[in-house]
Amino acid sequence: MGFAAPAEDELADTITVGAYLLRDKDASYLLQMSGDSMAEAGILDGDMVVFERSHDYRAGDIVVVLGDDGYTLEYFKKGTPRQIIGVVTGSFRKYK
Amino acid sequence: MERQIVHFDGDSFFASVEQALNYTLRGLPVVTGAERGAATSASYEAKRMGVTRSMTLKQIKEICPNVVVVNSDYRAYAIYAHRMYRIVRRYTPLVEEYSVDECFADITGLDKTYGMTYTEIAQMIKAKLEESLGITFGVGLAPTKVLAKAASKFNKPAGFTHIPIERRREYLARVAIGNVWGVGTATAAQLQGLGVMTALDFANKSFEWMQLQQMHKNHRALWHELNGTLVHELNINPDHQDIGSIIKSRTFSPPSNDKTFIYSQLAKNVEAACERARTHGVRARAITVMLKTQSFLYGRVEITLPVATADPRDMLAVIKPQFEQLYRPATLYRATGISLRSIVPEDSVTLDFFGAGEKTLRNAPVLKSIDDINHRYGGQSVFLGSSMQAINYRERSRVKKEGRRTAKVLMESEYKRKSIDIPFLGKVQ
Repeated sequence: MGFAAPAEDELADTITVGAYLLRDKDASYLLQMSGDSMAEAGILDGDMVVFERSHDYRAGDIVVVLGDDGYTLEYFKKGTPRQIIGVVTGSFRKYK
Repeated sequence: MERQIVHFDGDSFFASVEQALNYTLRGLPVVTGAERGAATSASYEAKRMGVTRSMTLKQIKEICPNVVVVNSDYRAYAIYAHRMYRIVRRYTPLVEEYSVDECFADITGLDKTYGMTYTEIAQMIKAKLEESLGITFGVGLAPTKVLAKAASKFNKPAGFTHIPIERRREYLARVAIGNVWGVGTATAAQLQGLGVMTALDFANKSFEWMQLQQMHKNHRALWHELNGTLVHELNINPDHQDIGSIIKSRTFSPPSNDKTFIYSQLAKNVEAACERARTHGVRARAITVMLKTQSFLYGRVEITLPVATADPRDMLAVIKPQFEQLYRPATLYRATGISLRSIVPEDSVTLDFFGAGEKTLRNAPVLKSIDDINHRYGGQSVFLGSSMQAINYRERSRVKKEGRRTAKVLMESEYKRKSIDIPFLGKVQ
């Protein structure tokens, strides 16, 4: 009886870029940034934003707010009485 | 030890997913199924206006003029379903993926692990599902699958009900016998004839009474489940998964009004759909049969089967009289189709009094042989006589395949046929 091909073993501890970008895949969603309101955070017009539907956020986190006019991003501050549906966990931009 | 089974049931699942993916639909009456011309799901806003799934879209628009009717997006529903299964599996590996919007979980013994009561554990999983998916679930906790499934239907939407064994009677008194999971229409009628109107009436019967009435073993199993003894173990084998509905449809050209030919086309689709179902180890409890006319109008009929089946002969027996009604000699038809609905794993088949279920079980070896032969010799080496004309027929001119609707919620990737598996919700500012 031989050993399993070594390549298989080595791959067991690797993950895809997608999995790396996502903390909890089953709660993750994508949005596309429109405008420059979050340029300060490095999220530019056209960037893809990954967020997690979660109530687990703290001051300074970028949260996703869902209002009548759609989704907006903002920094979470204590006492914000808004409809927060999740927290941003990543963003990416594809050049080619 | 008393078992602790949880049943999770997505509230108006398809419509809820549509609302979660498109925020402009929130708070509006939403119905899915535009592509079929019949509702596959209705949001609670629609249900509050009196909309039910048995209505035609025309009737729905009459009683609910501001209804939004959207196409069913089965790819999106499958993504949400798999998220549901995986989230529940974080708490226990003992999960049965019962259908696209339902699953069972066995949490027996987890009270020690979490230092929580079973109610708290079930509610914790429910809260996580609702937080992660943005849709609500009806959840039931009970000692058996049948009781848990009954429990999840109370206090909809977003309800949670625990039926401990000692309090089962007060809940079962509120469940009509026909609404008990596993009781088919014929069985319900038979039981009502014997004075059994509620689930409690049945649970209260003695075991001797059932023997006297010569109840089938499946109904004795049901009686045990209603009385709190688990008989139906969870089916945690994931072989049958990944499958929400099976649709087989074929356009032929030129259009035809040849009745035998059209029926043969339909039979071929039925056979293909059944073969696909058997490959996945599933059966259908209901089907929709469709005839498309040259003027792009549809004739369709929805049929609830007496017993879940993946046998084309069973289905064609029920379809034939409906086809006779649907077919118009003066009309030119261009396509037939069948969609298998209410898909269940083949080992959870509801048997009925009339022995239809037993016949299905007896036929299993025949179908197995057909599948084996077709796998070995390819294509349709063995087929039903009713499909022959369609199989021997060569299309005279290839009809352009109807474009498959791309899931609007998913970002198209460079790989033409694939989409990113994370739902895309649109723009953010």
